Amino acid sequence: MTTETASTSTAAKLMVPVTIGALVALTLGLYGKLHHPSGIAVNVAGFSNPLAAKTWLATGAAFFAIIQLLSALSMWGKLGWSPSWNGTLHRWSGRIAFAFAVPVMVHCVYALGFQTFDTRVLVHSLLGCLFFGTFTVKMLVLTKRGLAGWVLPVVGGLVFTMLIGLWLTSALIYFQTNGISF
Amino acid sequence: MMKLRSPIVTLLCGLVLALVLWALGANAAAPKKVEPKAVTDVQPTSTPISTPNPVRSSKAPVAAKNATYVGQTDDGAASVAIALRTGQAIAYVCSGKIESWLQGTAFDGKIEMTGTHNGVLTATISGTTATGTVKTGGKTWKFSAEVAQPPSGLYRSASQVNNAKVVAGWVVLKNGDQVGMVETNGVEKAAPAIDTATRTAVVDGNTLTATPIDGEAGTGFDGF
Repeated sequence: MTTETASTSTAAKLMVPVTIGALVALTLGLYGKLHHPSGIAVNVAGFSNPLAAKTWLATGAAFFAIIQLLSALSMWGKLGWSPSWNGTLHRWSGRIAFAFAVPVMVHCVYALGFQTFDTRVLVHSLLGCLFFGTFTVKMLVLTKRGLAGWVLPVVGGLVFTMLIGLWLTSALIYFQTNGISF
Repeated sequence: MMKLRSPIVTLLCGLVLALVLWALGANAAAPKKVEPKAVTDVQPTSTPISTPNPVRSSKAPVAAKNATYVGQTDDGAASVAIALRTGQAIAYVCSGKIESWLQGTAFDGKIEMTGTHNGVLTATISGTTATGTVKTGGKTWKFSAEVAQPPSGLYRSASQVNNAKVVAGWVVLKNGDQVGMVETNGVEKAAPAIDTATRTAVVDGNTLTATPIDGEAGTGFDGF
Protein backbone atom coordinates (compact mmCIF):
# COMPACT_ATOMS: atom_id res chain seq x y z
CA MET A 1 0.00 0.00 0.00
CA THR A 2 1.51 3.27 -1.00
CA THR A 3 0.52 6.72 0.04
CA GLU A 4 1.43 9.39 -2.43
CA THR A 5 2.16 12.78 -1.04
CA ALA A 6 0.81 15.75 -2.93
CA SER A 7 4.25 16.57 -4.25
CA THR A 8 5.00 13.13 -5.67
CA SER A 9 1.55 13.05 -7.20
CA THR A 10 2.18 16.42 -8.87
CA ALA A 11 5.60 15.33 -10.04
CA ALA A 12 4.19 12.15 -11.53
CA LYS A 13 1.43 14.03 -13.29
CA LEU A 14 3.88 16.57 -14.67
CA MET A 15 6.22 14.07 -16.22
CA VAL A 16 4.31 13.42 -19.41
CA PRO A 17 3.47 17.09 -20.13
CA VAL A 18 7.03 18.21 -19.45
CA THR A 19 8.43 15.44 -21.63
CA ILE A 20 6.10 16.36 -24.48
CA GLY A 21 6.94 20.04 -24.04
CA ALA A 22 10.63 19.26 -24.10
CA LEU A 23 10.17 17.26 -27.31
CA VAL A 24 8.35 20.20 -28.90
CA ALA A 25 11.16 22.58 -27.95
CA LEU A 26 13.79 20.15 -29.17
CA THR A 27 12.01 19.54 -32.46
CA LEU A 28 11.78 23.25 -33.20
CA GLY A 29 15.41 23.80 -32.31
CA LEU A 30 16.75 20.87 -34.27
CA TYR A 31 14.65 21.63 -37.32
CA GLY A 32 15.64 25.28 -37.17
CA LYS A 33 19.31 24.44 -36.91
CA LEU A 34 19.55 21.57 -39.35
CA HIS A 35 17.38 22.62 -42.26
CA HIS A 36 18.63 25.09 -44.81
CA PRO A 37 17.01 28.49 -44.16
CA SER A 38 14.86 29.23 -47.14
CA GLY A 39 14.61 32.99 -46.88
CA ILE A 40 11.00 32.66 -48.01
CA ALA A 41 9.08 35.79 -47.31
CA VAL A 42 5.34 35.29 -47.11
CA ASN A 43 4.07 38.79 -46.89
CA VAL A 44 0.83 39.89 -45.26
CA ALA A 45 -1.07 42.54 -47.14
CA GLY A 46 -0.82 46.01 -45.68
CA PHE A 47 2.69 45.75 -44.30
CA SER A 48 5.78 47.18 -45.95
CA ASN A 49 7.76 43.98 -45.60
CA PRO A 50 7.61 40.57 -43.91
CA LEU A 51 9.70 41.74 -40.98
CA ALA A 52 7.13 44.44 -40.27
CA ALA A 53 4.32 41.89 -40.50
CA LYS A 54 6.05 39.62 -38.01
CA THR A 55 6.87 42.52 -35.72
CA TRP A 56 3.25 43.59 -35.48
CA LEU A 57 1.96 40.03 -35.10
CA ALA A 58 4.48 39.55 -32.30
CA THR A 59 3.40 42.82 -30.71
CA GLY A 60 -0.22 41.66 -30.90
CA ALA A 61 0.77 38.42 -29.18
CA ALA A 62 2.58 40.36 -26.47
CA PHE A 63 -0.43 42.62 -26.00
CA PHE A 64 -2.74 39.66 -25.48
CA ALA A 65 -0.15 38.07 -23.22
CA ILE A 66 -0.41 41.10 -20.96
CA ILE A 67 -4.19 40.62 -20.93
CA GLN A 68 -3.38 37.03 -19.97
CA LEU A 69 -1.27 38.15 -17.05
CA LEU A 70 -3.87 40.59 -15.78
CA SER A 71 -6.76 38.15 -16.13
CA ALA A 72 -4.73 35.47 -14.37
CA LEU A 73 -3.94 37.84 -11.51
CA SER A 74 -7.63 38.66 -11.34
CA MET A 75 -8.66 35.00 -11.33
CA TRP A 76 -6.30 34.30 -8.46
CA GLY A 77 -7.68 37.20 -6.48
CA LYS A 78 -4.60 39.39 -6.69
CA LEU A 79 -6.25 42.43 -8.22
CA GLY A 80 -9.12 42.81 -5.79
CA TRP A 81 -11.53 42.52 -8.69
CA SER A 82 -12.66 39.21 -10.09
CA PRO A 83 -15.50 39.38 -12.58
CA SER A 84 -17.15 36.16 -13.65
CA TRP A 85 -15.88 36.52 -17.19
CA ASN A 86 -12.18 36.74 -16.36
CA GLY A 87 -11.73 33.03 -17.07
CA THR A 88 -13.24 33.40 -20.51
CA LEU A 89 -11.12 36.49 -21.14
CA HIS A 90 -8.02 34.60 -20.05
CA ARG A 91 -8.67 31.64 -22.29
CA TRP A 92 -9.53 33.69 -25.36
CA SER A 93 -6.72 36.20 -24.98
CA GLY A 94 -4.41 33.20 -24.67
CA ARG A 95 -5.76 31.58 -27.81
CA ILE A 96 -5.40 34.80 -29.77
CA ALA A 97 -1.86 35.38 -28.51
CA PHE A 98 -0.96 31.82 -29.51
CA ALA A 99 -2.61 32.21 -32.90
CA PHE A 100 -0.54 35.35 -33.56
CA ALA A 101 2.65 33.70 -32.34
CA VAL A 102 2.42 30.64 -34.60
CA PRO A 103 2.86 32.40 -37.99
CA VAL A 104 5.74 34.42 -36.59
CA MET A 105 7.39 31.21 -35.40
CA VAL A 106 6.86 29.41 -38.70
CA HIS A 107 8.51 32.24 -40.63
CA CYS A 108 11.37 32.55 -38.16
CA VAL A 109 12.13 28.84 -38.07
CA TYR A 110 11.64 28.17 -41.76
CA ALA A 111 13.14 31.28 -43.31
CA LEU A 112 15.82 32.21 -40.80
CA GLY A 113 16.51 29.12 -38.76
CA PHE A 114 18.13 28.74 -35.36
CA GLN A 115 20.84 31.40 -35.37
CA THR A 116 23.81 31.89 -33.14
CA PHE A 117 25.79 34.68 -34.79
CA ASP A 118 24.80 37.23 -32.19
CA THR A 119 23.73 37.04 -28.52
CA ARG A 120 20.36 38.54 -29.34
CA VAL A 121 19.53 35.95 -32.01
CA LEU A 122 20.84 33.13 -29.84
CA VAL A 123 18.64 34.18 -26.93
CA HIS A 124 15.72 34.62 -29.31
CA SER A 125 16.26 31.21 -30.89
CA LEU A 126 16.47 29.51 -27.50
CA LEU A 127 13.46 31.35 -26.08
CA GLY A 128 11.46 30.59 -29.19
CA CYS A 129 11.94 26.85 -28.80
CA LEU A 130 11.38 26.98 -25.04
CA PHE A 131 8.27 29.14 -25.37
CA PHE A 132 6.42 26.65 -27.53
CA GLY A 133 7.56 23.79 -25.33
CA THR A 134 6.39 25.58 -22.19
CA PHE A 135 3.12 26.61 -23.81
CA THR A 136 2.55 22.95 -24.65
CA VAL A 137 3.17 22.08 -21.01
CA LYS A 138 0.73 24.78 -19.91
CA MET A 139 -2.00 23.40 -22.17
CA LEU A 140 -1.42 19.80 -21.14
CA VAL A 141 -1.30 20.67 -17.46
CA LEU A 142 -4.73 22.25 -17.74
CA THR A 143 -6.20 18.85 -18.57
CA LYS A 144 -5.06 17.40 -15.28
CA ARG A 145 -6.68 17.56 -11.90
CA GLY A 146 -5.09 17.36 -8.49
CA LEU A 147 -1.93 19.28 -9.25
CA ALA A 148 -0.26 21.35 -6.56
CA GLY A 149 -1.36 24.97 -6.44
CA TRP A 150 1.92 26.42 -7.69
CA VAL A 151 1.94 24.62 -11.03
CA LEU A 152 -0.39 26.84 -13.08
CA PRO A 153 1.07 30.17 -11.90
CA VAL A 154 4.64 28.97 -12.41
CA VAL A 155 4.07 27.54 -15.88
CA GLY A 156 1.88 30.48 -16.86
CA GLY A 157 4.47 32.89 -15.55
CA LEU A 158 7.20 31.16 -17.54
CA VAL A 159 5.14 31.30 -20.72
CA PHE A 160 4.50 35.01 -20.21
CA THR A 161 8.12 35.81 -19.42
CA MET A 162 9.40 33.93 -22.44
CA LEU A 163 6.98 35.63 -24.82
CA ILE A 164 8.00 39.05 -23.56
CA GLY A 165 11.63 38.01 -23.84
CA LEU A 166 10.99 36.99 -27.43
CA TRP A 167 9.40 40.36 -28.16
CA LEU A 168 12.30 42.22 -26.56
CA THR A 169 14.85 40.36 -28.70
CA SER A 170 13.08 40.99 -31.97
CA ALA A 171 10.16 43.41 -32.31
CA LEU A 172 11.68 45.94 -29.94
CA ILE A 173 14.89 46.00 -31.97
CA TYR A 174 12.88 46.41 -35.16
CA PHE A 175 11.00 49.39 -33.72
CA GLN A 176 14.20 50.89 -32.36
CA THR A 177 15.83 50.66 -35.75
CA ASN A 178 12.90 51.56 -37.95
CA GLY A 179 10.66 53.54 -35.68
CA ILE A 180 7.07 52.54 -35.06
CA SER A 181 6.30 51.86 -38.70
CA PHE A 182 4.17 49.51 -40.69
CA MET B 1 -16.41 25.47 -16.66
CA MET B 2 -13.71 24.80 -19.20
CA LYS B 3 -13.88 21.33 -20.69
CA LEU B 4 -10.78 19.29 -20.05
CA ARG B 5 -10.33 18.81 -23.79
CA SER B 6 -10.22 22.42 -24.90
CA PRO B 7 -6.50 23.05 -24.22
CA ILE B 8 -5.75 20.03 -26.41
CA VAL B 9 -7.94 21.56 -29.10
CA THR B 10 -5.96 24.79 -28.81
CA LEU B 11 -2.68 22.91 -29.22
CA LEU B 12 -3.99 20.96 -32.19
CA CYS B 13 -5.29 24.11 -33.87
CA GLY B 14 -1.90 25.70 -33.42
CA LEU B 15 -0.20 22.64 -34.87
CA VAL B 16 -2.51 22.58 -37.89
CA LEU B 17 -1.98 26.31 -38.43
CA ALA B 18 1.79 25.85 -38.25
CA LEU B 19 1.74 22.93 -40.68
CA VAL B 20 -0.45 24.78 -43.19
CA LEU B 21 1.79 27.85 -43.09
CA TRP B 22 4.88 25.67 -43.35
CA ALA B 23 3.48 23.87 -46.38
CA LEU B 24 2.64 27.19 -48.03
CA GLY B 25 6.12 28.42 -47.32
CA ALA B 26 7.74 25.24 -48.61
CA ASN B 27 5.63 25.39 -51.74
CA ALA B 28 6.59 28.98 -52.41
CA ALA B 29 10.23 28.37 -51.64
CA ALA B 30 10.55 25.31 -53.86
CA PRO B 31 12.37 25.95 -57.14
CA LYS B 32 9.72 26.90 -59.67
CA LYS B 33 9.25 24.44 -62.53
CA VAL B 34 9.18 25.76 -66.09
CA GLU B 35 5.80 27.21 -67.15
CA PRO B 36 3.47 24.24 -67.74
CA LYS B 37 1.81 23.63 -71.11
CA ALA B 38 3.30 25.77 -73.82
CA VAL B 39 0.75 27.78 -75.74
CA THR B 40 1.27 25.61 -78.81
CA ASP B 41 -0.72 22.83 -77.16
CA VAL B 42 -3.89 24.85 -77.35
CA GLN B 43 -5.82 25.20 -80.61
CA PRO B 44 -5.27 28.72 -81.80
CA THR B 45 -8.68 30.32 -81.82
CA SER B 46 -9.94 33.83 -81.92
CA THR B 47 -12.81 33.18 -79.56
CA PRO B 48 -11.84 33.46 -75.93
CA ILE B 49 -11.74 30.14 -74.18
CA SER B 50 -14.08 29.99 -71.25
CA THR B 51 -11.52 28.56 -68.88
CA PRO B 52 -10.67 30.96 -66.11
CA ASN B 53 -7.94 33.29 -67.16
CA PRO B 54 -4.84 32.62 -65.08
CA VAL B 55 -4.26 36.19 -64.11
CA ARG B 56 -0.91 36.88 -62.59
CA SER B 57 -2.47 36.40 -59.19
CA SER B 58 0.38 34.19 -58.03
CA LYS B 59 1.32 35.57 -54.64
CA ALA B 60 4.30 33.24 -54.45
CA PRO B 61 7.33 35.49 -53.99
CA VAL B 62 10.01 35.19 -56.64
CA ALA B 63 13.56 34.74 -55.38
CA ALA B 64 16.13 37.22 -56.62
CA LYS B 65 18.64 35.94 -59.14
CA ASN B 66 21.72 34.25 -57.67
CA ALA B 67 24.49 36.86 -57.67
CA THR B 68 27.00 38.73 -55.55
CA TYR B 69 26.79 42.51 -55.35
CA VAL B 70 29.74 44.63 -54.30
CA GLY B 71 29.92 48.35 -53.76
CA GLN B 72 30.58 51.24 -51.43
CA THR B 73 28.50 53.50 -49.26
CA ASP B 74 27.73 56.85 -50.89
CA ASP B 75 30.30 58.62 -48.72
CA GLY B 76 32.92 56.01 -49.51
CA ALA B 77 33.43 55.24 -45.85
CA ALA B 78 32.51 51.58 -46.02
CA SER B 79 32.23 48.73 -48.47
CA VAL B 80 29.22 46.49 -48.82
CA ALA B 81 28.95 43.00 -50.28
CA ILE B 82 25.71 41.08 -50.63
CA ALA B 83 25.52 37.47 -51.81
CA LEU B 84 22.14 36.14 -52.92
CA ARG B 85 21.28 32.50 -53.44
CA THR B 86 17.79 31.04 -53.89
CA GLY B 87 16.29 33.93 -51.99
CA GLN B 88 18.72 33.71 -49.11
CA ALA B 89 20.95 36.72 -48.54
CA ILE B 90 24.28 37.06 -46.72
CA ALA B 91 25.93 40.45 -46.49
CA TYR B 92 28.90 42.14 -44.95
CA VAL B 93 29.45 45.85 -44.44
CA CYS B 94 32.86 47.00 -43.35
CA SER B 95 34.55 50.35 -42.88
CA GLY B 96 37.77 49.10 -41.41
CA LYS B 97 36.56 50.40 -38.06
CA ILE B 98 33.06 48.96 -37.81
CA GLU B 99 31.48 45.95 -39.45
CA SER B 100 28.34 43.91 -39.52
CA TRP B 101 27.48 40.47 -40.84
CA LEU B 102 23.89 40.28 -41.97
CA GLN B 103 21.46 37.60 -43.04
CA GLY B 104 18.08 37.82 -44.63
CA THR B 105 15.97 37.37 -47.72
CA ALA B 106 15.91 38.54 -51.32
CA PHE B 107 12.51 38.24 -52.98
CA ASP B 108 10.58 40.25 -55.54
CA GLY B 109 13.54 42.53 -56.12
CA LYS B 110 13.83 43.49 -52.45
CA ILE B 111 16.58 42.58 -50.03
CA GLU B 112 15.86 42.65 -46.29
CA MET B 113 18.46 41.71 -43.74
CA THR B 114 19.37 42.04 -40.08
CA GLY B 115 22.68 41.38 -38.47
CA THR B 116 25.31 41.91 -35.82
CA HIS B 117 25.73 45.24 -34.06
CA ASN B 118 22.06 46.08 -34.65
CA GLY B 119 22.70 45.83 -38.37
CA VAL B 120 19.79 46.35 -40.75
CA LEU B 121 20.06 46.38 -44.54
CA THR B 122 17.34 47.03 -47.05
CA ALA B 123 17.86 47.37 -50.78
CA THR B 124 16.10 47.08 -54.10
CA ILE B 125 17.53 45.33 -57.11
CA SER B 126 17.26 46.91 -60.52
CA GLY B 127 19.06 45.06 -63.28
CA THR B 128 22.57 44.45 -62.02
CA THR B 129 22.47 47.14 -59.34
CA ALA B 130 21.34 46.94 -55.77
CA THR B 131 20.75 50.24 -53.99
CA GLY B 132 19.62 50.76 -50.47
CA THR B 133 20.44 51.62 -46.90
CA VAL B 134 22.51 49.87 -44.31
CA LYS B 135 22.57 50.71 -40.62
CA THR B 136 24.99 49.40 -38.07
CA GLY B 137 26.80 50.55 -34.95
CA GLY B 138 24.83 53.77 -34.89
CA LYS B 139 25.66 54.76 -38.47
CA THR B 140 23.26 54.91 -41.40
CA TRP B 141 24.65 54.72 -44.92
CA LYS B 142 23.13 54.75 -48.35
CA PHE B 143 24.94 52.48 -50.75
CA SER B 144 24.97 51.21 -54.28
CA ALA B 145 26.38 47.84 -55.32
CA GLU B 146 26.91 46.13 -58.66
CA VAL B 147 26.98 42.46 -59.61
CA ALA B 148 30.56 41.34 -59.29
CA GLN B 149 32.61 38.39 -60.48
CA PRO B 150 35.53 36.73 -58.75
CA PRO B 151 38.07 37.77 -57.60
CA SER B 152 35.97 40.69 -56.42
CA GLY B 153 33.30 39.75 -53.93
CA LEU B 154 32.90 38.71 -50.32
CA TYR B 155 35.29 36.52 -48.37
CA ARG B 156 34.90 35.09 -44.91
CA SER B 157 37.09 33.09 -42.63
CA ALA B 158 35.92 31.50 -39.37
CA SER B 159 38.17 29.33 -37.29
CA GLN B 160 39.56 28.56 -33.86
CA VAL B 161 43.09 29.86 -33.43
CA ASN B 162 44.78 29.06 -30.14
CA ASN B 163 41.43 28.65 -28.37
CA ALA B 164 40.18 31.96 -29.71
CA LYS B 165 37.28 32.29 -32.12
CA VAL B 166 38.55 34.28 -35.10
CA VAL B 167 36.12 35.53 -37.73
CA ALA B 168 37.31 37.72 -40.57
CA GLY B 169 35.57 39.25 -43.53
CA TRP B 170 36.74 41.08 -46.65
CA VAL B 171 35.01 42.98 -49.40
CA VAL B 172 37.04 43.09 -52.58
CA LEU B 173 35.84 45.80 -54.98
CA LYS B 174 35.97 45.55 -58.75
CA ASN B 175 39.02 47.75 -58.97
CA GLY B 176 40.88 45.48 -56.59
CA ASP B 177 40.57 47.75 -53.55
CA GLN B 178 39.60 45.86 -50.48
CA VAL B 179 38.66 46.39 -46.86
CA GLY B 180 38.40 43.80 -44.17
CA MET B 181 38.16 43.31 -40.47
CA VAL B 182 38.95 40.48 -38.12
CA GLU B 183 37.16 39.74 -34.85
CA THR B 184 38.99 37.76 -32.21
CA ASN B 185 36.82 36.70 -29.29
CA GLY B 186 34.67 39.76 -29.79
CA VAL B 187 37.44 42.31 -30.36
CA GLU B 188 37.38 43.80 -33.85
CA LYS B 189 40.13 45.48 -35.81
CA ALA B 190 41.10 46.12 -39.40
CA ALA B 191 42.49 43.07 -41.17
CA PRO B 192 45.46 42.93 -43.51
CA ALA B 193 44.65 42.41 -47.17
CA ILE B 194 43.61 39.02 -48.42
CA ASP B 195 45.40 37.37 -51.33
CA THR B 196 42.48 36.61 -53.64
CA ALA B 197 44.46 34.02 -55.58
CA THR B 198 45.17 31.85 -52.54
CA ARG B 199 42.31 33.29 -50.46
CA THR B 200 44.60 33.58 -47.47
CA ALA B 201 45.64 36.37 -45.18
CA VAL B 202 48.17 36.47 -42.39
CA VAL B 203 46.63 37.90 -39.24
CA ASP B 204 48.71 38.20 -36.08
CA GLY B 205 51.14 35.67 -37.43
CA ASN B 206 48.45 33.12 -38.30
CA THR B 207 47.41 32.30 -41.84
CA LEU B 208 43.66 32.42 -42.23
CA THR B 209 41.98 30.74 -45.18
CA ALA B 210 38.80 32.37 -46.40
CA THR B 211 35.84 31.03 -48.33
CA PRO B 212 34.26 33.26 -50.94
CA ILE B 213 30.58 33.79 -50.21
CA ASP B 214 29.40 33.68 -53.81
CA GLY B 215 25.72 33.75 -54.73
CA GLU B 216 26.26 32.37 -58.22
CA ALA B 217 28.61 29.56 -57.25
CA GLY B 218 26.79 28.87 -54.01
CA THR B 219 29.94 28.72 -51.89
CA GLY B 220 29.89 29.96 -48.33
CA PHE B 221 26.19 29.57 -47.71
CA ASP B 222 26.18 26.25 -45.93
CA GLY B 223 27.26 26.48 -42.36
CA PHE B 224 27.41 30.26 -42.46
